[in-house]
Amino acid sequence: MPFLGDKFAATDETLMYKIQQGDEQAFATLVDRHLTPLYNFIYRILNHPTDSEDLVQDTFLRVWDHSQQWKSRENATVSTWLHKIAYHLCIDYLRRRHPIDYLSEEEMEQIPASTQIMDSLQELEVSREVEKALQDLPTRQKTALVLCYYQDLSNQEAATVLGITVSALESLMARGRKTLRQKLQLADLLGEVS
Amino acid sequence: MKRESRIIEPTRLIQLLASYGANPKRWPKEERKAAQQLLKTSTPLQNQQQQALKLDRLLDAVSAPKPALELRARILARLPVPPTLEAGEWIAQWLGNWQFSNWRMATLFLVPLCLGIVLGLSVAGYSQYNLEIQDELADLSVQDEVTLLAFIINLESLP
Repeated sequence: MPFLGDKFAATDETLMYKIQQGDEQAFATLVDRHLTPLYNFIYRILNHPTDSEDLVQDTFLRVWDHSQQWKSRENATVSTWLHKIAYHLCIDYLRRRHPIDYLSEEEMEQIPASTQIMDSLQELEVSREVEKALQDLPTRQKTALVLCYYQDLSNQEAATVLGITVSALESLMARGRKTLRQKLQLADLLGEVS
Repeated sequence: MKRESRIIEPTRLIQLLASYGANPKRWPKEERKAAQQLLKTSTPLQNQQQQALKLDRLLDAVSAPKPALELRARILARLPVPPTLEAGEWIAQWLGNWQFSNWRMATLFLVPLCLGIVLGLSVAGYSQYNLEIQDELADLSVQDEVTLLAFIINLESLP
């Protein structure tokens, strides 16, 4: 029942309707629910803790300011919408952070996989090595993998966040995994796990 | 793009492994069963799955970061202060929320209903009181008439 202190019972969609009416309690509940997953997502794209927190904050404030724009649809859950806002903020941030040497996705994908990894063949723990390999991926490949692998979004939802088709998403993920495999094989990590 | 086919080709399964990894839970729902069926029948495909699993395990090794504890408070503190509402706006907003609060709609019906009942009962009580007074007055007038008549009879009977 929505009127009986529905912090745990209310769906994200119900919370959004309430936020559209200016309900701060509903907003706080939405923040509680999505803060950590959203932070994880942004952190994995930016690899910068402080800036990731700033972008999480900006994402939620945008939700508050633009709550009227949200509409419930079959393939557009609140989580998808949040990820989409966060993704666009990440893209803006990356463009601002590298205004001069920013390369387009196409340009970045032309870079041979092996050029960026030779400096990472030190004795680092496995997770750091994999994290670095992930960070070196082109943003869209990385985002596709993070959305499907770590954020547990369905292929449809991930495709919606990126604004592409499911086929294009699969292609991005396959290229991302292939590059990761090459990098981690060079780092001799794929031989370590069986 | 949805693939509803119940049978999938080995090339499609290789694509699934290359894109989504070894865990069937991450494969598209509509193709999962067929892909798993196909996987059972092919050793080369099982080897492919093992290769994909190696990368999955490395990806699993990446730890999940946690946000600072005060981040939640920071976000909520940044919310703009809502403007003070006029009475009319407050009522409009209050009514605007009724779709999520059934009790608000119930209140809308119950308040006038209760007022009606209270008013009705008051009026009914007043009417009853009036009837009683009228009865008493009627009794009084009959008594007066009888007294008057008795007085007249008494006068006439005097010598």
